Amino acid sequence: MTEVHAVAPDEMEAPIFLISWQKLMMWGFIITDALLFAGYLASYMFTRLASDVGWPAQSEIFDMNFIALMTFTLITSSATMACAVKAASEGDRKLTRRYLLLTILIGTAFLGMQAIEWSHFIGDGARLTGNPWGASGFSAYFFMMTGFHGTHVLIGVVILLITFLRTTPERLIADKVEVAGLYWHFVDLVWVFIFGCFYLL
Amino acid sequence: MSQKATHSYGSYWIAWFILLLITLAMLLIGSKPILAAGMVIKAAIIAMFFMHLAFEKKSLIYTVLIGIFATTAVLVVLVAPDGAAM
Repeated sequence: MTEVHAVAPDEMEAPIFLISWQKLMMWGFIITDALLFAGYLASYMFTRLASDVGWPAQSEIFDMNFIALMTFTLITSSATMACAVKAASEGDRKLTRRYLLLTILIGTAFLGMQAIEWSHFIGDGARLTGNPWGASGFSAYFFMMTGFHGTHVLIGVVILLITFLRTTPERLIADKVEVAGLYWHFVDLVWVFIFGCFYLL
Repeated sequence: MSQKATHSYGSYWIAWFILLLITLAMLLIGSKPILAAGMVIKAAIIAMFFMHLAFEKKSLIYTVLIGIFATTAVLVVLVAPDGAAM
């Protein structure tokens, strides 16, 4: 029989990251998901540079004020989410629920604006396979990138809704709110790059 | 557990306001250096303050930064510019 050593707590190796495994998993997911979008953006830039036909001028096709409003909406939802995490860490259930609901509403508003944006774009003749303005990659990348981002927002709204419903008057799960918040901020972070690379560059 | 960052609600709204200002600068000026700098600064503010990355252990900070930046750098610096040579 081998000897079994009881390890005293102070002899145990400190966890490398000092965070809960749920949070670590979310960071792992965020890293890999960021690489997915990095791949899209790189392939978008490649296609744009390699295009023989001129790249359409975005400001003539999109209503930039509307895009700015969408950006404003998403940034605001990120700020309210940060407040929700803060309230949860302080154990304030009522305030957490209020900020979560606010974030859900603003996130849903963003999705609605995305839908309006898509119907305008499709109404103007843009398709996945081509568009009236020039390089076919333009509309293909638009649908792919904003589509994937919109799907992330939709999933985020669902996650927040579940978190909201689980934050009942009896219990508050600060950890869960924080992990959901990480995901939500990441979605906002991706939009920063889509906004900069696709709409403005 | 990780050190609880002692942020006030106000500090989040300050971050929000700075993000808006940078967005406006990107919209109104729109030159390539401004766009690039704007995107990086906005991403840094969101990651550091909203996602609390600045207040995590260094091992996590480096894991996230190296993981994302190394691969993104390869894609954006080494792969994407080749499109111009096609």
